[in-house]
Amino acid sequence: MRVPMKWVVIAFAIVALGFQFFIANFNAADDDLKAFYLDVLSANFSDACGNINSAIRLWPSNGRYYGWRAYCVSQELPSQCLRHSARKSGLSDQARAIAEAALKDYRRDLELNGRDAVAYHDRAWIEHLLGDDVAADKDWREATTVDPGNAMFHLSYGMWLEESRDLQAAKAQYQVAIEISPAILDSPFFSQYRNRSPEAADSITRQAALMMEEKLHQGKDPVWEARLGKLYHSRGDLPRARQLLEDASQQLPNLPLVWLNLGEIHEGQGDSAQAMACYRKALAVDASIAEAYLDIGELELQRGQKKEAAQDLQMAIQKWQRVNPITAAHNNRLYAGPRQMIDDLLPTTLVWYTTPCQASRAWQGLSRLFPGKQQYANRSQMCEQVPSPHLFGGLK
Amino acid sequence: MYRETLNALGIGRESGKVTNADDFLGSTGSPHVIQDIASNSHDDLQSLRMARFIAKHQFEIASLPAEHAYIAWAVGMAMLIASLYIQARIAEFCLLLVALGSSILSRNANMKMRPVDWSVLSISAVEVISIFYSQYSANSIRSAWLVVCAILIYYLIRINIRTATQVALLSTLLGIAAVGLSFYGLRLFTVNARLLGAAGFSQLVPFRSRLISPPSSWLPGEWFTVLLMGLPFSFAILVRYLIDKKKRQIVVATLPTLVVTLTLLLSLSRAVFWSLVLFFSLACALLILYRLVPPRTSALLVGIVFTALLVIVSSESIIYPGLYRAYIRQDISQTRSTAGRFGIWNRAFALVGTHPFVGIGSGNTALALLSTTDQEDTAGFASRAFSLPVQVVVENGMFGCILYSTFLILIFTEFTYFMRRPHIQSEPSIRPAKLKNNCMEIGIRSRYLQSQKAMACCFMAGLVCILFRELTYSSLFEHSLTLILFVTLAALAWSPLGAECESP
Repeated sequence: MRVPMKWVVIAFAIVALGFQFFIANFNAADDDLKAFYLDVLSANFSDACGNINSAIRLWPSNGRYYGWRAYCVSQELPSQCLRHSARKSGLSDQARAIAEAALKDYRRDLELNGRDAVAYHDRAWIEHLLGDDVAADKDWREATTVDPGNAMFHLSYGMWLEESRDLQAAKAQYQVAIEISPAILDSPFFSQYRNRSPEAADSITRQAALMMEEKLHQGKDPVWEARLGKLYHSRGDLPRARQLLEDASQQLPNLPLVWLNLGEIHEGQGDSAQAMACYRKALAVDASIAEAYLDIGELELQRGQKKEAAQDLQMAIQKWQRVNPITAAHNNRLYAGPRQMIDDLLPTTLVWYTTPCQASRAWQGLSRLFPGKQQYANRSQMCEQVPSPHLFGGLK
Repeated sequence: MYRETLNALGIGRESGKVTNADDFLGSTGSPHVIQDIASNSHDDLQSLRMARFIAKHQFEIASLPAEHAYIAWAVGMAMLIASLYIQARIAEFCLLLVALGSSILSRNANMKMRPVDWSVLSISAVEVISIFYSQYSANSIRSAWLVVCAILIYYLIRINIRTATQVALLSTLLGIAAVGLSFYGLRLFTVNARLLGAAGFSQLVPFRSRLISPPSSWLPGEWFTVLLMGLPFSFAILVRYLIDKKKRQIVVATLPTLVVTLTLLLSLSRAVFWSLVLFFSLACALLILYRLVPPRTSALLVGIVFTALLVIVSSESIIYPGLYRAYIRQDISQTRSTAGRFGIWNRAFALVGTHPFVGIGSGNTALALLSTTDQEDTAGFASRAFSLPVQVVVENGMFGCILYSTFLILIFTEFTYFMRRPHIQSEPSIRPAKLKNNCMEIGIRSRYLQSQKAMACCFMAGLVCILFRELTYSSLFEHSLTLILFVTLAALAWSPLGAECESP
C-alpha cells in the first residue's frame, strides 16, 4: 500500500507541534537559567535563586538546574570549613537547614545525571560542613573519578585530606593536580602550602618532575615538556626550564603559557627585550592571560613607561577579576543549553585560592605609580587575603 | 488552448473517471494535473496521446505563469534555513507551521511515500524514544528536537522543491549565504593572521583553530562544515549554466564557488581540504558517468577545477607562507590531533560495549567519555566523538546505526535509480522506454532536464564529501543548521528527479 505523503507529514507535523509545546517550557527554563547566570555575575543572589526556582518548575527533570539551585542557596553558607576555626559553635540552625536543602538538590541532580562531577564535589563540601566526613570522602573521590582531568577536584580533595591529617594522601592529590596544571604553583594555595609544609611542597615538585621526565623518555611530547619546564622554573633550574620551554614552543607555538613562562625565564636571566617579546606572544595567542599583562606592566614600570605600565597593570587586574570559569569550559561541551558564564564550585573562594593570583602585584605596581591613591595600597595584599577553604588546624 | 487540447485528445465526461473539463480548465494546467487525468483514464490510447502531448511540450514548470507561485517556496525555504544560523527559536515554530500548511495546501503532498521517506520517519521515532532511556535526557531532548526539525525540512523539500527552477533558486540563495559566510571568514583570517604575524609567529598551521573564530555558539570546525555544505549549492548553479551553455552566467556563477573554495582552503584542515578535493572529483565524475556533459567539456571541467584548486592553494601560500604545509606535511599539532582522535575513538568503542544495542542516548557522548580519560593524557578533554559514525554508534547503538545507514543507502539508491532515466537535452525525443514504476502504468515516459540531473550530481557529491569529512569530525548533530543543510542536500540529490514520475 502506498501511503500519500500528505497525511504522514500532517501527522508528523502535528506530533512535532506537540513536541514543540512540550519543549517550549524547556526553552523558557533555559531563559531563566541565562537570567540566573547574569544575576549571579552581579551578585544578585535573591533574584538568581528566584530564576532557578522558576527553571526547575518548568523543567523538573533537568538535573543541572538542581545543582544550580543548591549552589545558589549555598551562598549563604560559610566559605570556610569551621573544623579548626576559633568559632566552636559550628553551623547555625539556619545554615544547617540551608545545607540540608542543598544536599537534597544535589542528590536529585545526581539521580538525574550520575556523571555530574561538580555535583559530587559540591555535595562533598556540604557533607563535610555538616560533619558527615564518610559521605564527603566518598563524594570527593567520586568527583575525581568522574572527571579525573580536572585539577581543581584533586586540589579540593587534597585540602580536605590534609585537614583530616591524612598528609600522604593529600600530598598525592596535590601532586596529581600539579601534574595536570603546573600553574597551580603560582596560586595562593601553593604558596601557603609551601609555608606550612616546605618539605612536602618540595617533594611534590620533585616527584612530579621525575614522573614527567619518565614520560618524556618514553616519547617526546611538547605538552609534557611545557609542564616540566614550568616545574623546573619553579624549582629555580632556569637553564633546564628554558631548554624544555623553547623546545615545546617550537613544536607547539600555540601554547600561550609556554610563552609566558619563557618570558619570565628570560626576565630572570636579565634579557628584558626577549622577555617582552615572549609576553606579547602569549597575549597574541590568548589575550585573557592576566599574568602576561602584569609582567609587561612591571617591565614598563622598570623602563619608566608609566602610562603604558598603568594601562597594563589595570588590564591585569581586570583579566584576573574576569578569569574564565574553570568548570564552564567542560560544562559547555557536556551539556546542551545556554553557555555557562560562572563557576559552579563550592566554596566560592576555591577558584581564587587555587589559581594564579596577579592582583596583589598589580595593585602594588599601581600603588607605586600613584602613591596618592590609598585604595591601591589597601589592595596590595589581595591575593594573600584570599581565604583558604580549610583551616589546617595545628599544621604548619 | 486547453479546451482544444482536451477535444483533440477526446477527453471529456464520456471518458469515465476522468475529471471534467471545467475542473481541468480551472486548474493551473500543470503537468501534475495532466498526469492526474492520464492516470485516472482507463483508456490506454488516451494515455498514449496524453504522453505524446506531454513529450511534445517541454515541461519547464516555471515557464507556466501560475507556477511562479511555487518559486516562493524556494525563497521561503532558503530564508528558513538561513535563520537557523543565528538559532532563532521563532524559526523552528515557523518551520512547523510551514510544514503543516504545505501538507494541507500543496497538491504535491499527494505523492506517495517512498522507502527513504519511511526510513527518515523511523529515525525520528528512534530519536524521540531514546529520550526515555537516555543517560541524561536533558541532552537527548534537544538532540531529538534537532532531528525532528531536520526531518520536517526534508519533507518540505520533498513536497515543495520539485522543479529545476526551484532547485536552482534555492541553490542560488544558499550559495549566496555561503559567500557571505566566506567573506566573514576571509576577513577574520586576514585580521588574525596579521596579529599573529605582528607578534612574531611565522607558522599558521598550529593556530588554525584561532584564525577564523565564528560567533560564540559555533566552533571553527562546525563553521567549516556549514561552509562545506554551501559549496554544492554554489557549484550546482555553475554546472547548470554550463549544461545550458549560458556563457555570461557561467562567468558570474563561478565567483561564489571560487570564494567559498578560497575560504575553505584557509581552514588549514586536512579533512576539509580532502573533502573539497573529493567533492570536485566526484561531481565531475558523476557528470561524466551519466553523460551530462560532452567528453570534451568534461575534460575541460576537470582540468579547470583542479587547476583552480592548485592556483588557489599556491596563491594563498604566497600570501601566507607555509600554508600549503597544512595539506602536504604533518605539523606536530596535526600529529597530536590525529593521535588524540584515535585515543577518543578507542575510548568510545569501549563505551559501545556497555550499551551496544540502543546506545547511551543522543547528545551524551562527551558526558560518557568524561570519566574514561587518563589523567596523564595530554590530548585534552574529549568534547565530542570526532567521528560521526562513532557518535551514532555510541549514542544510538547498533540499532540506530542500522537506521541511519539504511537512510543513506536508500538516498544513494534513489539517486542512482533516477539518474539512470533518460533526460531531455535541447530537443525532446520520444523513444520507447522500459519503466518499472507508475510511469509505465500511466504510459508517460519520464523526462528530466539535463541540468536538473547535473545539479543532483553536485548535491550527491556534496553529501558524500560531508560524510567523508564527518569520518574524522562530528558536527552534524551539534546545530540545527548543520543537520538541516545535510538533509536538504539529501532530499535535493534525488527528489526533484522523481517529480515527473510520482503519480498521486
